[in-house]
Amino acid sequence: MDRREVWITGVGIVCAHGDDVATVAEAQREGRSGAVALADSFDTTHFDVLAACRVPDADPAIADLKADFGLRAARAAISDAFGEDAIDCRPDLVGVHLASGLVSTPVTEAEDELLASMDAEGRYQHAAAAARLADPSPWRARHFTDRVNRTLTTDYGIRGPSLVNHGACAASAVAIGLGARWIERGTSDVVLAGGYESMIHPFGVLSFGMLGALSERQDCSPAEVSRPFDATRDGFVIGEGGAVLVLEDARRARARGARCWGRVLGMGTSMDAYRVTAPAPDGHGAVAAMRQALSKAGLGPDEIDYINAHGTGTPLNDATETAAVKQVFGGKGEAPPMSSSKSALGHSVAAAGAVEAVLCLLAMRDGVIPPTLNLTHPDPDCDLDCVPLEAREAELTHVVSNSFGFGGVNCSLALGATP
Amino acid sequence: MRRVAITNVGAVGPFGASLDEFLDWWKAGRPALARAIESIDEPWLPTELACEVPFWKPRVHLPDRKAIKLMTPRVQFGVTTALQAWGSGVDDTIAMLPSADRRGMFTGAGVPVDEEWTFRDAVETSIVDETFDVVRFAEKGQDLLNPLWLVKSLTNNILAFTAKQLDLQGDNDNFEAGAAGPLLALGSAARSVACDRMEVALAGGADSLVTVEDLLVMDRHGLFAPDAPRTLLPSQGGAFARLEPGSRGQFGVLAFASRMAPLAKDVAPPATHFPPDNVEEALDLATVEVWHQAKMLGIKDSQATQIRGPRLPDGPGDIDLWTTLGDPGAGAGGLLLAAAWALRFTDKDTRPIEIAAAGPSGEVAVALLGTLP
Repeated sequence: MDRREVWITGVGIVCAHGDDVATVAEAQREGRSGAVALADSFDTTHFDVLAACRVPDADPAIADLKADFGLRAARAAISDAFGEDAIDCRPDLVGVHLASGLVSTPVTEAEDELLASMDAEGRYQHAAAAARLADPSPWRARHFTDRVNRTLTTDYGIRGPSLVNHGACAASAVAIGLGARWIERGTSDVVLAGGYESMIHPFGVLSFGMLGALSERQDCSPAEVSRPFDATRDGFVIGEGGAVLVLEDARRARARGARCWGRVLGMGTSMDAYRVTAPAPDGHGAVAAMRQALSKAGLGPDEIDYINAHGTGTPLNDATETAAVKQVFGGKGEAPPMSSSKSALGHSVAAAGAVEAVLCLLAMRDGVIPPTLNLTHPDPDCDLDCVPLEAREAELTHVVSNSFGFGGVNCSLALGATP
Repeated sequence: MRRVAITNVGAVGPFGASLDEFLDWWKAGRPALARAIESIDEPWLPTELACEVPFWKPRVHLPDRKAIKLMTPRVQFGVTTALQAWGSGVDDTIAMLPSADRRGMFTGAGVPVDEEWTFRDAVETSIVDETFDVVRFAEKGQDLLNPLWLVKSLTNNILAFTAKQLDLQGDNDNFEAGAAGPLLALGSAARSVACDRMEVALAGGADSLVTVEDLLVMDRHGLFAPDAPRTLLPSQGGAFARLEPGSRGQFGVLAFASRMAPLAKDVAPPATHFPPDNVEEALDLATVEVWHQAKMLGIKDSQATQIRGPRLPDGPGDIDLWTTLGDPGAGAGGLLLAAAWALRFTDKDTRPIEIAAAGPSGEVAVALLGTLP
């Protein structure tokens, strides 16, 4: 059976630049940072973290913020694709493949939960917690990570396959790639694919901070903290958000006159669990993922016009990723321009792959390569063209988006412009 | 498309820590395995009984002893069963296999929980004037936390640690869909081998509901109440299968389908820990699709042996595992693979074996296993 072509006919995004595609595209063109002071979210005394890339209208009181981002992105994508709040497709041919991360627990909720479960001496008592049987929404049930899938399948009458992927920071890129495979092989005609995440809360920030993954830079503004590929980089800035793509069988999309944002041409996945939190120094997992994505897309390295890097801003990732890109695309002068959107939007963990896929579609649509912000002192080990500081106009036909996660999960997506 | 054979299975559960012990339990008529809870040392528990893996000593089963410190028990169970499924002579086998990028793995994992309850002390020390004090949490609480809490809580850790041990570098995915997760993993792994993307792939899952947090949640849902309509016996364990290109006559994967059961409109989210009541519709749809695929392969006999996951409605002739084995959460999907293996190789049942499981929010997966045509 011939592989069916996969069009992207709708996009929805919620990120530190907002939830409107036009605004996000403009911020990308202008090279704006979405970072704000983490202290705007909660008291950061003793946290040693200055910045976060917060969704502008994020309400920390919402019980499950990440699910809120996921649902907003999905509904926007559906509306974008079909012009209404409904999916024009046979229900059993619609699938949902989304990605999410760990539990996001707002302080208010944790406080309610914990205080209600303390005894007179201030010790947590299971019995006290269990006695709260009248609580209709125990926090863990509220945080089932398939909540967004569940709501979407119910609200839109979806009857096709529904999956929640957990591949750490590569999760939503994997979800898009596997969602595209459902289209390619005819399992589904329409797939909602993407991911969502929020860990901008004390538990999330502390957890990443204790691993040494977050930047502890304090001597600059929040917008200047995230510095991928820069010699002074010291970790990532935590971000949040969600992005969902409507993937559709191209023949069907053409027939209904749908707009095409771009195409999913191929995905490569690999594992290189060198350490749970670190890639193999030679980047062989990333190399395998990129080569596989190119192979699936039927493209050579010289046909890729831009790489949206994983580019977290941690010392290890950026050097390893650069080495891996060189193995696949060649060195400086041979490899295509590569930039890190995390310099502007931070690292939205499980949502990052989908958010950056949307940014790639905007880059191809607008002919604008987004810049790597704060790249003023290039690291000699990161010596590719990383598009420092300012966006660059270029005709982009094929791009690659990289996402690498804890546990050694690697994913590269090859995306194509509107035919 | 290539045929996909299941060439080995590993299993860990309340019956013991190997497939042989699972088969012994099976041959003995699947006797009850519930015992008094031993692994949780807490003054209060909502139930006294659970089905725990007996005498669990991870150092006996896991070669990378340093890595054990980074694994929660559910990850230890998962990695152990995956290594078993790979085969006993792991190093020798690797040398005979194709390159690492042709070796894949797909897992179904449970909801991440703070299994060791590491946050409790940190949070307790952060209460000031009956309010959770974020500043105090950062100042004093973090010293009480395991710095690797986040790493230990990653749901893809079964995948990560197994991949490192076996040098698996190919296709992979990790699903969180309760008991349906390992079957979703099976479907993805079978597709990967069938399409010639992978030469060998592991598929399955493991979990544990014998944790403080799980017991708490279940108690909140009234599942330990004597008059509860749905009772639950918490359990732990799981199983993995090894998939490879097969040939006619081998035991393998015949068909797979998954569907999502929507919530009834009058049921406000969140759903409970268990499949919604209208899961039958999705189960029917997925089953019809599986048999449609089977017919395309020329399989006409629809009189399959059925084994279904916990709390799914019984099918005709359904084999009940869970009354005596307990509910191991996502691990149930894995143990369906072990049960299918037992039917085929212990009971010599040559009929197609239909296994089905549902996740907490209505994910339904159905697989048909049997003799490859």
